[in-house]
Amino acid sequence: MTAPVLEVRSLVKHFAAGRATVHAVNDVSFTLNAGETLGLVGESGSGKSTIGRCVTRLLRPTGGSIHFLGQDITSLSDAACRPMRAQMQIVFQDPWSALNPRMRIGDLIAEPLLLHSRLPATERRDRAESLARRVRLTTELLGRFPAELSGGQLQRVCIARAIATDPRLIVLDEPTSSLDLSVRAGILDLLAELRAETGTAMIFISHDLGTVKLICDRILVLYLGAVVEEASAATLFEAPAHPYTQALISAYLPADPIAPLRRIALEGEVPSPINLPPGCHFAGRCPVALPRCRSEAPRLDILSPGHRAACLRIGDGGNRL
Amino acid sequence: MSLLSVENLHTHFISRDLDNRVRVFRALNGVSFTLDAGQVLGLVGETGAGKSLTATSILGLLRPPAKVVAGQAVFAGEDLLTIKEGALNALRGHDIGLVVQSPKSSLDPLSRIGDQLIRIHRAHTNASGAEARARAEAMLTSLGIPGRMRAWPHELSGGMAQRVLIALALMNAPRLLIADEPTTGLDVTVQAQILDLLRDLVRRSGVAAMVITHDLGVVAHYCDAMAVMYAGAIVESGPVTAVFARPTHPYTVNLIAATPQRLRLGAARTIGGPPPNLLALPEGCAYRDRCPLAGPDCATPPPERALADGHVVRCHRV
Amino acid sequence: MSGLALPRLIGITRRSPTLAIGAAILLVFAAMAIAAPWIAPFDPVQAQPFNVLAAPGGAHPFGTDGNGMDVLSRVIAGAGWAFGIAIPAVLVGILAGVPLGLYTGYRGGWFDEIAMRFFDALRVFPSIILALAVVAAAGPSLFNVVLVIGLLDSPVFARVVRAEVLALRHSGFVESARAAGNPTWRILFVHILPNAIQGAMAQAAVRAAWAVRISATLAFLGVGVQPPTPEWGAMIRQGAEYLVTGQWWVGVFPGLALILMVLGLNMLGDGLQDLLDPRRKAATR
Repeated sequence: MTAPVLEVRSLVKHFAAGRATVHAVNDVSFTLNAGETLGLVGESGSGKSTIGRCVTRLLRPTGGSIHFLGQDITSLSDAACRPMRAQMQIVFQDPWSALNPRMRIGDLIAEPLLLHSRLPATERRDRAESLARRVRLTTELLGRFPAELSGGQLQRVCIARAIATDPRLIVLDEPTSSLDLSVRAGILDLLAELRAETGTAMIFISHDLGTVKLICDRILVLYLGAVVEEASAATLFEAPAHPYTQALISAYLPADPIAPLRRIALEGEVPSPINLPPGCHFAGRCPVALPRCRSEAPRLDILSPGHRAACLRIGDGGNRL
Repeated sequence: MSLLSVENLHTHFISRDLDNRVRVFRALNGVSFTLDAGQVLGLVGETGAGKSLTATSILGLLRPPAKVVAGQAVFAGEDLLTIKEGALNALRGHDIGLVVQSPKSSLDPLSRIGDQLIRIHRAHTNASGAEARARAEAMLTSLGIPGRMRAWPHELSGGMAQRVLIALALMNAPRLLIADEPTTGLDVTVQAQILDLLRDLVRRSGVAAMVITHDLGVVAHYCDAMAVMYAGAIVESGPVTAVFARPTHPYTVNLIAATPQRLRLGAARTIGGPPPNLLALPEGCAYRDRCPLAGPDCATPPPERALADGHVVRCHRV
Repeated sequence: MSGLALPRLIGITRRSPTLAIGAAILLVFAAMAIAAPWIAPFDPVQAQPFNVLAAPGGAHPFGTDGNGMDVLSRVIAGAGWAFGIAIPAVLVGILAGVPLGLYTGYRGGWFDEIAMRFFDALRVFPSIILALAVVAAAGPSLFNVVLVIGLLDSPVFARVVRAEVLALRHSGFVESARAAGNPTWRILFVHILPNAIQGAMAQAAVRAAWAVRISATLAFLGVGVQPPTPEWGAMIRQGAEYLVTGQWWVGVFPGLALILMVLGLNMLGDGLQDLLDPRRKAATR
């Protein structure tokens, strides 16, 4: 068995906000194998984007460890991270702001090659052309500036940059959330195709359950910076164990008027990650919370192989809504 | 008779470029629809299709260089596009309530929530201060945020601010409610709360509602009728169940096929080509350049074809 | 493309008449500076001992000065000196200030803090006194004048660039440049600088106006360029002596030229700032 691409252990990330501390990520662990696509799902404040940025070392974790291809990258300096970035890339949510407005598309796509290979300029240009074709962009766009492209085209440019150095891991941080529906479909299609061709491991961060269900093998559900449930995509949607997962899935509106809705109304909103409630973070909104949920923090228990959930009510079967 | 009847609405942005040439950005190109009392209409479309602009045009909230150049919008027997500014002001906020996209920036940061509710009520009615206060309190309670009269806007979460905006829009018991992306940017669990609430209020009071959204899930589950916009015109409209069961315009077909429920990765029938250029729309059907079924006859304006029970589509290929 | 040049020119003029007028004034001065040897009726430093302080008229439309030099020719030649000091001074200011602003803005922390406090201190201290002291100590050579004006200017460029960098530092493309593996110098100079330089460029014209003014002031106070060099400040100093005795033309004509050039540069700077302002640009789209 080969080593996992990514191994995250007890990841913690705090931010200072004035005198207060934002507890963005609180003890998150997961493993990502080659060729696998892992979904990180959650609402605002769930810490999903922070995890993505810690894993790619755009942020320095406060605690825990991150091993990438067997190497401990938890506290590498920025300079030491640089060669590693050829193996690990990230695509952001907003393609309009993710590209330098004063660089041409061709140069943007070729930039990772310039940084990580010793290819001569002509060869880089050829590679940029073939990368553009691979993400279904016409090569005439290579001479243009980002402002001249549509959102979908720009996101394809970002993806071309991300695959330029054949990375082992691509983190996709809400890559389709700011795009129109029809454009989104094309991007998802492209990602699925690239994954099949290259076997790259992916972390797909999203708040949209429909998209995650479509593209991910395995899903982590996050609430206030902690994993509340982890399961394969099929299991998660068929037999969600954690009350929050159940509520989240029930709140999702499929684009089909005859699809039945099973609404589980949740009270209130996600609490502030500055003052985390003790015990289970979800207890304040949970319809089936017991008094002890407010004091006792639940552990992630294994329900079946590959399916874990953190809820005290699972023991007595009271977790079903 | 319909409560609101919009007929052939055209809105253009007229400006000059750096070369001093006049540019006409044809944002709305003949929008027509009707809305009956008690009905919830979903206006769907992608970025730039003209959904929000339809609302702002009807309400007379356009700013230069945008300008309504043709059409009418008859609300309860009066054309909103030709009515005097004073009369329109009396309608807005009283007979027509508007819920906009960004709740946080739409509240007056310097007044308490209760004062804002009381103010809008007393501006349009003869209610006494005490009556207005009682109504405001009842309104906040019915929206699930009782006892928030003395709260400041900055103390509210996004979901609460959106509830306050809905309260403001419903304060004077309007006959028409226009909600522009009312849940965009809210978390899904909060979105569910707001939408359920909005639907209950609409059902209870019999107000007509127009919901502008890009989310087909919201339309599928919260609207009675839907109108699909493309390049500033409605290409297909009808009862929600009918349109989803039998999408007919090629654009609608592709749009619905692109939803995660219908999407099959590897076989996605995505909408090809660039988005429409509103500075230079093709003659005839605006979707022609991207349509897989386009033929030579599409160079003429597509006819309006009625399918079963109110399901209308504008396409040559029907 | 040349067919489009005229309508585009009209378009810019319509959008920013300030810019157009400023540019026109400067074009005239630039033409004067370049063509000075041919259009000036006399040699600007040729003394005519028998024709001192001649009133304007005849062969000397602007009259002659105390050495019998033709004032018109000297005013024309002065344009070259003004540009010759202002342009290198602004370049020195940019070369010193822009990298400093880039680095302090991107790094932040104590280094940024100290640099900014230092710039603040420089700003409150009257720059003319500082310039005077330095030039007086280092000697009134042209090189020293240019260097001092440029260095005094650099905090302005550093500040403008730093403000832009602060806004860009957390922008999406800088983060994605970091994620792609760009070293810091490349992030600063390839990714941030081209997006942060616009404000500084618009500043350049305004700072050139300041350079023209301060070099004239130095010359006027006698520590800058020395007479009989046809430098406007030096000429005004000379002319001031004759103002009380009624020979106004010696000082007034170079004074007018100085005012006009400073005005032109300021208008150009304001116009550029208007045109480059992204909010304004968005509003006209």
